[in-house]
Amino acid sequence: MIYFFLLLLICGAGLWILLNRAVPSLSTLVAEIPTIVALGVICLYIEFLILSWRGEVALPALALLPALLLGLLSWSFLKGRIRRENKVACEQPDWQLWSVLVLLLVLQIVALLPMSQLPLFDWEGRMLWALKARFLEESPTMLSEPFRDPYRLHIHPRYPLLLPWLSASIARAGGGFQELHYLMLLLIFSLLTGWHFFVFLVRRIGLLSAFLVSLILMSSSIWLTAVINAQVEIVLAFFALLALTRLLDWLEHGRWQDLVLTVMFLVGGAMTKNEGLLLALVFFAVVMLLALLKMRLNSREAWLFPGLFSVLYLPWLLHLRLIPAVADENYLQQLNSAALLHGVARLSQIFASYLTRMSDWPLWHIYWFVLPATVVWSLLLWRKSTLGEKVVALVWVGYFVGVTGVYILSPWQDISLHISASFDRAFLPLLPCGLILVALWSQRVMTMGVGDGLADQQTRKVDQ
Amino acid sequence: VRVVIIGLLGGALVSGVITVRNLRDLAATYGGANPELRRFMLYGPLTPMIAQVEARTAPTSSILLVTDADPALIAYGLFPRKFWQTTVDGALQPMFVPSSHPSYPQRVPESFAVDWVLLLTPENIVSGGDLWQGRGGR
Repeated sequence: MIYFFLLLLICGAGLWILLNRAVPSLSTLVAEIPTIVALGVICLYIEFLILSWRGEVALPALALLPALLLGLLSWSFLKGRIRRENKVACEQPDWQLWSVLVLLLVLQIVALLPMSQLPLFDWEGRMLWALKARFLEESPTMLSEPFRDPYRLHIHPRYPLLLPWLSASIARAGGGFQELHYLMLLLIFSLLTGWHFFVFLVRRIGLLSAFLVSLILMSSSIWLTAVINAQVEIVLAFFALLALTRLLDWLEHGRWQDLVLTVMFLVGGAMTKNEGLLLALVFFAVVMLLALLKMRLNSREAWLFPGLFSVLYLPWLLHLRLIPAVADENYLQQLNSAALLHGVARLSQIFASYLTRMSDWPLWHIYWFVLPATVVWSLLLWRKSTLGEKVVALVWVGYFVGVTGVYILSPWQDISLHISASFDRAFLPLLPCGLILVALWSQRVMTMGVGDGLADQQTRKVDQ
Repeated sequence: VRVVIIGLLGGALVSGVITVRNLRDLAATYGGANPELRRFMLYGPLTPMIAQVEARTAPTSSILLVTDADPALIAYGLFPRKFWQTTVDGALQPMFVPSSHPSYPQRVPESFAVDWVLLLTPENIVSGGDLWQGRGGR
């Protein structure tokens, strides 16, 4: 197992160093661990998809890409193209920041400790993701029977396979599939999400506020339930958060590396769940809108988005072509006037089901009221919102419209049942992003009032 | 704004405590249950079938599953046994792909080179389904 994690870290760290052309300081390295892990996972998975065309991919074969990256790194070092980074990651003294982060992570681990005594209970976790992980553990290639023979296919055969592959790789490296490993994998993604969420917010709203908002995320029932049930949406939320924060970094600093990372994380999301594809589409639409409105970026930069995304997503698309088409998943087939009219006619039923789901008080789903309210607030106060706030709000609205569109096209006869079964999972990926918007607005209102803003603050900085 | 943040935090903590308490209760129930009850907690009405297949077939077996039930849990619960699936009606149709699809010609049950056949219907699920050795046909 150490071998696999080593490959993953070499890939992630190597790519990070090559992109930034700098060896990170210890402080930056710790802050960037979630990014490095995400990059490692995405790179190795794409490598697996490419190698998978030749048949089973043994673990040693995955060393090809890390070896290539190491070679590139050595060459760059020799040519003096990589410097040592000496900037401080944030203004807080390191020991304070890391102590609070460790406290947050330990709190979640302690709270979820009983998970280790339980098997995998969740229907989706077992039937969808863990089963496919076992198929890939048995035969690590996309060409094997369970992904090709229509008589051996299992439910949702066309779902993305990043998490099953990751779980299968750990199983192969660690002596066999164990549900505990699978559950811990999801817990690790949850911790990495909290880690990145906290570090991102510390730079913007301070230590105490970042701690409180991170606590809101990591202690909420919606989040904890998803971790306990090993729901793959946790992984999508992780990639969505990374993509959004990189996009905000890019808007703030204009570094092309942040844009590249945004796209890579969106690819990670799209390879985790099909909702990730919707998220990528929404991000692209928002970036294009910014380009059209001539806010910050030019259209050439904006086109980098779909271009890079398509190249990185291509290996999965090629595999997808070989997986038999399944009737009940073909939402595009539903794109006809009769189905659309039928779907639109039940829009009121869809929103009524949303409200019912949002009002599940024992699980305290008030986020689903507060977060949309903050989004609407940002849109109403468009001129007073910062660029970052506008972007988060637009991503939220775009994703909401997209998911509602999927429900409109849903082949389920009983749409209330469909929404009741999937609402939390559908919107969970945007929970961290929504909380970021709440945190940014709250901080601004408390410290400066609505009339002023970070935009003004930034303008003053530029003037200085 | 403070009220909103305090409300969110308080709500999150309360909901989190409820969730963790439920998790601890579940862990205690599962930990204190006997193996049969544990199996039932995992497989519900499929428990007799899982027990029968585990008892009668080797882990390396291949099985043709003839059922209209969702087979994914069966394949997971009985892994590493390999399952081929057809519907009960005609027993010719792949479970998730329309048989009319030009790339996937219909197959007769005998064409499946399997060790066992498992017929699972709402009527025989309580007794664990009908399991017999040999190729697809009865």
